[in-house]
Amino acid sequence: MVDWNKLKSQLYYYYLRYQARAGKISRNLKRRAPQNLFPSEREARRVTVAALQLKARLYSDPLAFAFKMQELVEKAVLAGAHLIVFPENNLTQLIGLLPGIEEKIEEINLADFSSKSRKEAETKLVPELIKFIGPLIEQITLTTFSTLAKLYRVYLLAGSGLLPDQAGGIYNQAYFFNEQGKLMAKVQKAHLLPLEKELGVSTGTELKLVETDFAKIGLAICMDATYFETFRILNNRGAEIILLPIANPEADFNYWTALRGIWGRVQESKVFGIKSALVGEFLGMSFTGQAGVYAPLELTENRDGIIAEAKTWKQEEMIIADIDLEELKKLSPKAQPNKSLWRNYFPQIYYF
Amino acid sequence: MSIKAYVFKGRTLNLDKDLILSLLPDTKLNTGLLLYPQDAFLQEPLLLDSAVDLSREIVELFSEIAFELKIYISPGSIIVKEDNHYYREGVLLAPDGELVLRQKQLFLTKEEREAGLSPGEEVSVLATELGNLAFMVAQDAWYPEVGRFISQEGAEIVLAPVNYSGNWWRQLAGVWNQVQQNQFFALEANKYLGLLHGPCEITPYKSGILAPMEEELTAEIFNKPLVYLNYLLAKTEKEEFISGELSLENLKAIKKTYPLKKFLNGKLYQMAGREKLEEIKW
Repeated sequence: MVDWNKLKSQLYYYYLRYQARAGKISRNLKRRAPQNLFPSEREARRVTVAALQLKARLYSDPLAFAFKMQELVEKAVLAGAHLIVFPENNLTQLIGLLPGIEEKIEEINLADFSSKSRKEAETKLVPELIKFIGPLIEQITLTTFSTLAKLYRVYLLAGSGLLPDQAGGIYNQAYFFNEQGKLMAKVQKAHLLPLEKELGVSTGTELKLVETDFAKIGLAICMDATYFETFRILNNRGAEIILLPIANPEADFNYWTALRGIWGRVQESKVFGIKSALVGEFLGMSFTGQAGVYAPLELTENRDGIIAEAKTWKQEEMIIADIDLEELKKLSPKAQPNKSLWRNYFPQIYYF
Repeated sequence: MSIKAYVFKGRTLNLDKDLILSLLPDTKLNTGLLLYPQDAFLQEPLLLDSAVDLSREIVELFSEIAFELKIYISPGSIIVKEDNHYYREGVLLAPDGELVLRQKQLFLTKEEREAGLSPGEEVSVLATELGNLAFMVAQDAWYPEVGRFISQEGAEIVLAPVNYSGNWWRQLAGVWNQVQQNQFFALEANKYLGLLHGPCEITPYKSGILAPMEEELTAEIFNKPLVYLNYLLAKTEKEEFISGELSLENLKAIKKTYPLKKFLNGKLYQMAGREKLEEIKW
């Protein structure tokens, strides 16, 4: 007996895979790119960075997504950017490839929090959908951002998405590409929101550092910046800049609650921090946030730790800023370490 | 249960019982918690031997005051000598006059090291009827591991005697920052701007600062840290003490709905752990 629904799903998946084929995306991106649009030459340790504040939407067409990414990369490159940072869940926008997904998510969100149907949808349906469409989203991500990084000779953090790994777990994972279009790192969020836990998202167990020709860059995702340990470890390994894509499901923006993320971590660990944000109405939730570029207080004009920050928290914006890595050397040395104290508490303090 | 908390925000004081009592708030202090700033009664804390002598007198006097007023009271920090080492220590006297909590400063400035101070090596958390109390002494408030250690040991209310004036962003990077990532209350006694802190969600305007708020403020004030802190400073300019109520029920509730501790990733932090300490560069 033929399982008609299964057959339909498979056929539809093949159709989507055909639509999202690497050759088609990369050919179209190349065709649209202006000749010789590259970032300006840079001094060895100075870099212009772009932090994106992106208004979220669902994409049902892989090419529409790729073109939007291209539009943003091009705008950033025209502004001089050598490094461009896309937000958390940037890749989740591709879940729109599934027909009817918006209505389905709305239906789930409208259901009572404690209802059986909602629990079932959250714990079974959403993970199943991600496992179904995830490999395709990853394929589109790799093609799109690798092509764009190479075409425009920029470093790109593609942002993150909820995607399955080969062992079947679901992770909130982000992708970093170098100027040659090579995937340098795939990083998984190591501190989850309760909501992500409920959806069956797994916790990352590794922090990633990438070496570029101007700095060592640490990678973290959203809630990772709520915990000082993330930045401390990355900084200890040599990170001078830490990238933080966020997507904060809070309808009412509050500057103070935003301040307890990357701003505080940058002050503790004495690194530069770049935050990109996904904003707007998305999958039945309201996201707010301010993209920005942060530095230790002493290295900022107003001694406030802010090099540049978005003016709004719901609109699309692009923050461009210059970073001079040599400035970090000007900072006064940190106080003497207390190795006896650390020996008494690390790492067992986390297992109390 | 709500706890009445007070932080003294004035100048360095002489160790004069009448003066100290005359400056105390009129409110009945019974069962409250009161904190003075770092070295509040030490004119020259880094002249160590004389500071040690004066510190003994400070503890004796505050033992009497705690007993008379039936409150938990901390004169801020003092200087102690043990086994030929000098330490800066936060001290807390209980309503029965006993010295119940001592916490050595854990991270020292170059100036403090050169003056001869040594760092402590352990944290202490004290269970009381007010909740679990701990200290972050002086610049320890800017070291996130200190907040993490005491929080993991169960601290609910933290006493932070500090001595900082200048850039308020730097001030926020200290106690405020620690409160937000560890979800405890903190009394920050500072000679310039004393503050009572709590997790954003349970404070006015989600600012992380518990403060007297009789009027409605606009976002133009409360959503801009410097404007807001200037407003608080002006509002409390003539007062010797900042006071507020700390609700442990509210604290428990926010820890339940936004369980930060639950998502600590111990496995990941092995890098920050014992076996890698030698690799840390400063």
